[in-house]
Amino acid sequence: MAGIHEELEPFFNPKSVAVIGATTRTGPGSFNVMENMIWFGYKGEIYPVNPRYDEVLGRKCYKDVRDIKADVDLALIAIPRHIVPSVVKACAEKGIKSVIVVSQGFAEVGGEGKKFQDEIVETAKRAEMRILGPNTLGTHNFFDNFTTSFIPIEKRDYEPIGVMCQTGLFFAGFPRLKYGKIVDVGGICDVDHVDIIRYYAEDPKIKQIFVHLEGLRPGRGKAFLEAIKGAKARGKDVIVMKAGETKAGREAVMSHTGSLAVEDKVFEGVLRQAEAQRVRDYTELQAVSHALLKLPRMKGDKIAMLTHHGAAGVMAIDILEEFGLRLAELSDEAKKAVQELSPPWLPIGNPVDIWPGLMGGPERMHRTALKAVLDDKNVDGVLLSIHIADYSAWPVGAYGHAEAIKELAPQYDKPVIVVPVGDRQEGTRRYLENVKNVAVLDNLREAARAFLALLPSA
Amino acid sequence: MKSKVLQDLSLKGVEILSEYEARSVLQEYGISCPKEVMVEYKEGRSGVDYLSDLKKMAEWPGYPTFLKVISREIRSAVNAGTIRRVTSDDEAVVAIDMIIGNAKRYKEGVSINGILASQDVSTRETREIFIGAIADEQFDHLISFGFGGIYVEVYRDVEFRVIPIKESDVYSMIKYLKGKEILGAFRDMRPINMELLVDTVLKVSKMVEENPEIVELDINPLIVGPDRAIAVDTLIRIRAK
Repeated sequence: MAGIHEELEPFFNPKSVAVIGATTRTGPGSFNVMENMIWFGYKGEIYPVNPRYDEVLGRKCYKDVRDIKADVDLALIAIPRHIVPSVVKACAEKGIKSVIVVSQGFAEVGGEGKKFQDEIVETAKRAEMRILGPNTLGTHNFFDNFTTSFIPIEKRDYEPIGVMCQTGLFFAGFPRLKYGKIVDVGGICDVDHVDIIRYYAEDPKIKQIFVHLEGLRPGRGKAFLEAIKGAKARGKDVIVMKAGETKAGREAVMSHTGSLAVEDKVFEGVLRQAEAQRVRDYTELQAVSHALLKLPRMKGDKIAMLTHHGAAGVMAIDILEEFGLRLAELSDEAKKAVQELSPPWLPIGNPVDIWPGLMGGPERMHRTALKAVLDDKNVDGVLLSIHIADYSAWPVGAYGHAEAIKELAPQYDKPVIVVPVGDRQEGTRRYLENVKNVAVLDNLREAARAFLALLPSA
Repeated sequence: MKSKVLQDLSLKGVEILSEYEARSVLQEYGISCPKEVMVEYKEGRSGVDYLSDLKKMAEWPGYPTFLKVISREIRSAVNAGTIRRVTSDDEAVVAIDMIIGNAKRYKEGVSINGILASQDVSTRETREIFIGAIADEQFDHLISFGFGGIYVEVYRDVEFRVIPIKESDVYSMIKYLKGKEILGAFRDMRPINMELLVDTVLKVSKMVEENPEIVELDINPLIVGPDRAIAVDTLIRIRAK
C-alpha cells in the first residue's frame, strides 16, 4: 500500500484530471469547474467527459472515461447521483486511483442514496481507489494552482496552512486565514479527517493544520487523536473547530461517567490530550492561526502590558486573568528605566502606564518602555494597547511607537501583540504587518487567546 | 495482565459487579480500599447478632464505620437509605435494623447478600475525588477524573482523556479542573498527596486498558488527603462473555 502522501497527492495536485459531467455553459453563474480550473492556472491535462458534447472549452470531449487513451490521475464526478455508481466502476476499469464525487444525495439522505453510496465504496475497495466525498467541493491548492471548486476562487497570497473541513464554507478563506491548501471531506464515504491530517503532517509545505469537524467516522476517534499527535510531533500546529453535538455511540449508561461524557466534553479532553488548539468561532480561529504562524512561543505565562490608557490596563487585567495568564512582576531595571522618564509621583507597575512619560517626548518614551519590558527576564510576552492615529498634525514618526516596535521587536524572542485604538489604523497596521514577532489584533480578548496559544505547554 | 476476578465474573455472566467484587478488582491493581468486613444475611437475625459477628472478624475496622446492606438490586445505597455511618456499638445495632428495614421497603422481596462494615477513611483534611471510565464507540475507552461526591453531576468539574494515559496527561487534567486549588493547601488543610492521586488515576487507566470488557466504571468518591488515596465506593459494569 502506498504512503498517505502518494495516495492523496492526486486529489490536490494531479498530473491529469477527467472532468466527468463537463459542461459547455461558461461565464458568471455557470459554476463550471473546468472553466475555474483553467482560469486558476492548472497546467496538467484536463479531459472533459460528457456523451452530449464533442468539445468542451476547446478540448476534445470523451463519451466515456474509458475512451481516454492517456493515464488519468484524478476523476471529478459531477453528474446525477443514480449514474455515479456505474461511472465510478468505469473509473475503476480505467485504472483511476483517485475520485472526487461532487454529486449529492447519498448516505446523508438515506434510502436509495445509501444504496448508491455502498456500491461506490464497494467498487473503490476492490479497485484500491480512494474516494473524496460525496457532496464535496473537493480541493483547492494555491501552491500548485489546482482547484476542483465549482465556485471560482481568485489567486492570492497564501500561508503554509492546510485546511480540512466538512463544508465548502472555508474555501472562501478569511483575511487572517489565507490557507494554501484546502479540502472538503463532504459526506466522508472514504477519505476522512484522519487521512487528511496525516497527509498534511507529511506535507513539507504545510506548517499549520486547521480542522473543521462536525463528526468523525465511527471508530476513528483513536486514529484521529494519534494523527494529531503525529502532526504535532512533526512540529506542526493543529487548530480544531468542533461544531455540532452528535449523539455519543454508547450503550445505555448507569454511571456518573456515562452521563458526564457528553460529546463536547469528550472532544475537549481529546483535543487537550492531543495538545491541539480548540477554537469556537471565526474570530478566535483567525487570532490563534495568525499568532501561531507569526509569533515566537513564550517561555512562560507572564505578560507585560504597555498602554496609553489606564482604562485599557484595567480591562486587560480582567481579561488576562480570565484566560489564566499572569501579569509579570517587572524587574527593578525595567521599572527604573520607565520611572526615569515618568513623573516622580507615578508608581510604575504592570500594566505600565506610559502616558505621563510621553509628555517629555513620545518617541523616547515608547522606545525606552518597550526595550525595558523586552529586556526583562520576568516577561514572556508583550501586549501593547496603544492609541494609533494615522493622521496627525504632527509629522509622521513624532510619536515613534510603530517605529519602536518595528526596530525592537525583531531583536527579541518574545511575542509582541498590538491592540490599536483609534479610528484610522490602516497605515500603522500595514507598517507593522510584516514585522517579525509582531501581530496586530483587534481586541484584548483576541490578544489573550493568542498568548494562550503561545504558551510552552500549548 | 488481565484481572482474574473480572475474567471469572465475566465467564459467570455477571454484568454489574457487587461492591465487594469491584473492590477485589481494584485491589488486584494496587488501588487502596477501606478496611471492610461482611457477614452473610440470614432472615430473622437482629442487629445485635450481625454486629457481634462483624466485630469477631480480624479485619473489623473499628469506629467510625459505615454499615451497609449489600444487594445487587440496590444501585444507590444513599438513595435507598441502606447505608449509615456509626460511631459506637449502640448506634450500630440500631443502624443495622434500620438499613435492613429500608432495603425491604426499597423493593419488596429484595435479595440481600450481607451486611458490610466499611471503615470511614475521611478526615477533616480529606477531599472527594471522582474517577471514571467508559467504553466509547469513537475512542474505545475514556477515563474521567475530577471532583466527586454527590454533586459530581451538578458541578461537572471533570476532564476526559483517551485511555491509555501517561503521568503528564493526569497533570494536564488537573490543570484544567476549575476546583484544582482544593487539592493544594486550603484553609487549614494540608495539600493532598498528589503522587498518590496521580498514581491511582494511572492504575485505573491500566486496569481498563487491560480489561476492555469494562463498559462503565465509577469510583466515587476516591478519598484523598495528605497521606491517602482510597477508593470508597466503586461501580463496575462489564460486558458479559
